[in-house]
Amino acid sequence: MTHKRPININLFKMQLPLSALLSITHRISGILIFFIVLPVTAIALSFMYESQLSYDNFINFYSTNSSIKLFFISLILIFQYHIFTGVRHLMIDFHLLEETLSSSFRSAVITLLLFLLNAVATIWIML
Amino acid sequence: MAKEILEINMYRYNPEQDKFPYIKNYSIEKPAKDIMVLDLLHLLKEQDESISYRRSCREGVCGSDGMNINGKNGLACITPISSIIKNNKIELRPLPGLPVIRDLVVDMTEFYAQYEKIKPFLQNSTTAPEQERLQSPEDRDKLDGLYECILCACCSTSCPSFWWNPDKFLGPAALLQAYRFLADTRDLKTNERLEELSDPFSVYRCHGIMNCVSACPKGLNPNKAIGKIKTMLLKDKKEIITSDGVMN
Repeated sequence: MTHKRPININLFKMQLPLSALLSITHRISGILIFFIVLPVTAIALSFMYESQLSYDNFINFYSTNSSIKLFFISLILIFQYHIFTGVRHLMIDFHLLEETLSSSFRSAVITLLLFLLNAVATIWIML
Repeated sequence: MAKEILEINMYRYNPEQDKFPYIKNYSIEKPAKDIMVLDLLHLLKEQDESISYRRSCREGVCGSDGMNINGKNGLACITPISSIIKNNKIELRPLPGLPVIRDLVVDMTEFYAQYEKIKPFLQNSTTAPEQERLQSPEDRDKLDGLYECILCACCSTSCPSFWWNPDKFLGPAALLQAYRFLADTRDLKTNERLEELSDPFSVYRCHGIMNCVSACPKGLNPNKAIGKIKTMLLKDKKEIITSDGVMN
């Protein structure tokens, strides 16, 4: 055999359980936190704390510009999503949740529902 | 009444003719009764003799006809078409993550290499009794749900961690067997076995996404076994800390 054999991996053709989707999105949210949420928040904070004027300017800019507001809300939601799904993972690792397919599905649904409730409350408060 | 037509999309690859794999479409009259995917493959082979797949016992015991059926790994011989069919369409692909030899036949070398690593045999250097090494019924019960694995590779090849690190992550099938020997009271090499599993890849690449449990045609739970191995590794570490005062 001279040429390399093909490998069948097509993520769009795979049927994944809900817990797998939660795990994948947990990772994606982790990457987003590392590369976007943390740097943007750090930059925004350092800008805000330069002086009273820069703080007022930032708050003014934030409250008058709805797209910026939505951007910051989405940063918070990404962070919250990572925490919610992460706590579920920790609970499984500590054997606090049963390691069966049905229990895993239930905990995934509950995690998503709790996150959605939390997201609605966050948007409600932030807007 | 007009007969229903089944549309089957099959992954085809013949290394002697094809540079790349492709999907070939077959149409077949839907059988009157519910048949297994393996029977469907036999019908297709009557249409196209070049189709290749593995099969042997045709009753879910040998584990040779593991394949990806409509996106989910399973044994073709015990999967009724009624359980997976979607709009009269079926897509058949080889097990994901392993090199394809031809059509639905994959090279299982990497999978067996991981199985070999966990030393899947009883290790006990004490003199063997005349008849057999006895176990209490309670100790024997601990092996239920572990020894039944038929090594069909449906679980390991549905695991993304195994796709990305087939040489370093042992995969659910090998780990289920690793726990089978860790849980066996007759095996005396528990510490050595745990030592060999303690690197960052062998066990810890499992993130508990449950694909293995969802795919296992024998209804086993490798995820639970992996969780127990992780706990054993943690307890093992704790003992090392308390006895030496230093973490190994």
